Amino acid sequence: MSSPNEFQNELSKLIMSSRLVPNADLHSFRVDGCVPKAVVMPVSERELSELLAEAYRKEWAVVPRGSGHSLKVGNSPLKVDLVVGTTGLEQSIDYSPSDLTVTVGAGTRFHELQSNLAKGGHWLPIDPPLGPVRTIGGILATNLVGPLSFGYGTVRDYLLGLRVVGPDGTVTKNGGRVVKNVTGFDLTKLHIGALGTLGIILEANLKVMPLPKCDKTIFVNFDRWQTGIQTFMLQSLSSYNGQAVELIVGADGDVKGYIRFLGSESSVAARVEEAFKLLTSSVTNPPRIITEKQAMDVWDEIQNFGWGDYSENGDDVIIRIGCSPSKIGSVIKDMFDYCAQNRHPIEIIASPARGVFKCKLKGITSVLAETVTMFRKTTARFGGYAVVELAPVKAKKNIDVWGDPGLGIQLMRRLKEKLDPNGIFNVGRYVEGI
Amino acid sequence: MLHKCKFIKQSNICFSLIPSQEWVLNTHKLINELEGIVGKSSVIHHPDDLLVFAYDGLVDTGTPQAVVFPTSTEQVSKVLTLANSRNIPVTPRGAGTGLSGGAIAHAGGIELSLTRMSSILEIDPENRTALVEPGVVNLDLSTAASAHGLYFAPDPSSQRACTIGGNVAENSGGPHCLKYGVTTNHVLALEVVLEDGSVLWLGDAYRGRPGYDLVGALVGSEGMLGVFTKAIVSLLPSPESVRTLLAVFSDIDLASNAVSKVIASGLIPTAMEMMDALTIRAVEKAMNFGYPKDAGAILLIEVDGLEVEVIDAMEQIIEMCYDSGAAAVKHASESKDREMLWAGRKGALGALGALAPNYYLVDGVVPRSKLTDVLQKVSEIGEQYGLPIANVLHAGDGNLHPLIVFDERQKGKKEQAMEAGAKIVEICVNAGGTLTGEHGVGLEKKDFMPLVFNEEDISLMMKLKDTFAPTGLLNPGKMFPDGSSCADFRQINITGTAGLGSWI
Ligand SMILES: Cc1cc2nc3c(=O)[nH]c(=O)nc-3n(C[C@H](O)[C@H](O)[C@H](O)COP(=O)(O)OP(=O)(O)OC[C@H]3O[C@@H](n4cnc5c(N)ncnc54)[C@H](O)[C@@H]3O)c2cc1C
Repeated sequence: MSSPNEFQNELSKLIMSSRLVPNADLHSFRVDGCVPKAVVMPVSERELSELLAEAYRKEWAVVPRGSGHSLKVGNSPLKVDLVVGTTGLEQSIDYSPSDLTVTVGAGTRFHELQSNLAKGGHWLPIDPPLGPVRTIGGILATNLVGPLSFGYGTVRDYLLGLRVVGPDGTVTKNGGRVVKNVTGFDLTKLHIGALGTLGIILEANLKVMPLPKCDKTIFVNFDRWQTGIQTFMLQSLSSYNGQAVELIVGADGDVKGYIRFLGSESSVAARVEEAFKLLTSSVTNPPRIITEKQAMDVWDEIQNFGWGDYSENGDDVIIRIGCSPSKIGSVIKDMFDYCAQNRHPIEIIASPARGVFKCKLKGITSVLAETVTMFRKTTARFGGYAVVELAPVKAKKNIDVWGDPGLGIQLMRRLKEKLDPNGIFNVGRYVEGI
Repeated sequence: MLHKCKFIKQSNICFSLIPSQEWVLNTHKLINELEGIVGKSSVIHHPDDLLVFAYDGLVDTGTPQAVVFPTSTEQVSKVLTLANSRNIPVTPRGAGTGLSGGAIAHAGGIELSLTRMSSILEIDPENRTALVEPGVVNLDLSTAASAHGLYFAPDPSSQRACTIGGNVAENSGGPHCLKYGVTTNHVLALEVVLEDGSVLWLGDAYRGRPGYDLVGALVGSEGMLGVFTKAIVSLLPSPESVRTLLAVFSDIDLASNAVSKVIASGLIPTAMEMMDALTIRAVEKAMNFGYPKDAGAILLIEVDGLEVEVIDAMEQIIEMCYDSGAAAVKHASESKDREMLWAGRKGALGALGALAPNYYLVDGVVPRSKLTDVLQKVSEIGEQYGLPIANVLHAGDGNLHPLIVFDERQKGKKEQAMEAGAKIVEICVNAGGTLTGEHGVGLEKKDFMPLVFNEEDISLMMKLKDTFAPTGLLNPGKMFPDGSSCADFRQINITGTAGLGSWI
């Protein structure tokens, strides 16, 4: 493939020009600075399928795209010929309240799905960063999760079936639209968090949940890092009965704790009362319930931590760290001390019950590689991992954002070779260069 | 010759062929080598002893050359390495309670029983996880975890006998998975031995490590992708309070309506189980609970959680049952009384067994809203074939288990039962459902796969198989259609397999 023009000529034989994004706009579709040779927004599965079949033959490097918000996840691509969008596809939402299931096109925005479900008294209880504006396909492919995943699990727990188009244009389905299903191997899970390296998700069947009638948040102010926090964290997994438990550690070292309770009136009231009792006896500052508006803002802030105010020209780095819940206090402490020693300003939101926390670091792009190495060493001691969720493109060049995917890497490579033998999807963006 | 063939279609290979001298010599050698790995007392090879291992819950048979009982991952790895070097099929086996033939050594070879790897290695109450060997019996894990106020959520009705390894391989469900999900929602990491003997850990005690979700693909893989030698599973806190309700209705429609009402109200009970008239009559005859004679359906609903929310939910559910026309409602909160309410449901399989010498238990799933329609069609099938069909179902999930009762001594009845079963599966698929909700494909339903999946869908599954287990020696002949129907019936003595108190 040579120049964008020749490339586009070739494309125009395949697909109507109205599906092509004008050249002048290509820049705004770049992936980590890589400007694609063309951007196509197919309007039908057939168009998409035929386009891919050709891409496969010609070995064009294809980047699937939903809303585009999370294209900055992963390593920078080694090559981008074609960006293929899913939002132009006809999107339908087929919702069956009495079955608690919904079938939704991958290009559908999450907020659209939620408002549809709300009409029937349901929701998909997930809250990934920038969730509302992203597409279902993108949410599945990136598997970024939010605070509610403690109480409700992740999108993995709601996915019943998928239709996917493979690199050669073949459309396949797996799973189904019933809540219990063991018909054949479960391939659906392989696409979750796979960043579109195995196929482009076309449609998902999901299980939905009843909307909770009541939503309350308890707030505890810890002032500084103190022993009460350790207790708070240890109790978070088992004792509060909340759907989300989070800590925000500000750049000034102030620590705030939040517990969110969702459910029926009586259930929330009982759980809040119990948590109050527990907290009053274990932390110095008295816990209190915050207003609906305050709660909404704070959960928004936590959900979108690092993403809400992310600017490509800024120098924020967001690192996500996972380890077992009982170890998280020690790991946070180590990170904190390291950053203090090296004068790196750090903000943290931690979900002790999920065993995950995210750090926002500023001004470390020049030393990103060594910082990440140190983070990985520390977490590895506790059996954990560290992923660079967001970082300036320049800084990404010197690191592998994913880190060690564990012993399964050979199988992962083999799987990629089987499902995308010409390696056209998202070249180099995934773990270990997959 | 046995070990030269990759796929041997005949079951009962030892007896259906006159063994050649070469075969006998090779078997002898193989057994010596296996004994060298696991010890003499851990290999079974005498034809009489092998008979027991020719079955699982699906009375199709396939006799292995030998059954081995490894006690460590290392031994599993060595057995697989040996089998791989000789081209010998290996069938992993847990308790053998599977209902689709997954643990049957269909192609002969080695049966790899994991039942002697049955230690609960660690319960970590802080992180609410357990590290277990695959042979741990499902209920034993919950019993052990209860010391910490925790339990393992997936509760197949065979939980007194079935193993965690089998649960993982079948992605088993249970009556209580309506609220808590099936096995796949509770498995965090697996130690797996691949067919070439290599050992690896996949997943983590917490989800989120980057990379493909290989654990997700291994759960439900029916022993065809690898042998699980350890698992890290998540445990849930035992609920503060549990309440159970039993409601009697004059017909299935009314009971189904009640189910729909509960779902529409926004409550998610832990279980919603239903029995139809035939089942009720059989249970009543066997156990004398005093169910009304004209009862057309019984609904069992269970809720759990904090005391206040449970009381609240139960009140609403009672009202909804009466609103839907329930003739009688009983409920209980004490464990002893709750057990009483469950007893009829749990004894249903045994009670139905008294109706005729044989039955064929079908597992199908439909969207819950189609349940009434589908049950109607199932009863039409029964009429058409002149076969009684009893229904015991996980109504909340739309998972039905029609049980076709017949007497195989009557000519043609068995074939008719099989045909009726196939029709029922088709009805489920046509209603937007699928072949199996929890029992797996195995031998039983492999030829039905094309009802749901086209060639391309299946070929993608094959690619997953090629990724993990390219030689095809691991549990061969399962899941994928090969043109011959392997669906089979089973004898009533199935309860012997599942142990005391088994129920569907
Ligand atoms: C009375 C009765 C009631 C039942 N109720 C339910 C129910 O409510 N819900 C439900 O889902 N099922 C139910 N079942 C089916 C069965 O009990 C489950 O499928 C169970 O999980 C099988 O476990 P097992 O240890 O008996 O496995 P087996 O039957 O021995 O094996 C099942 C499959 O798992 C594979 N396997 C076993 N161990 C391993 C391992 N360590 N590594 C890799 N593969 C392995 C085997 O090769 C086979 O394919 C019921 C069965 C009976 C007889």
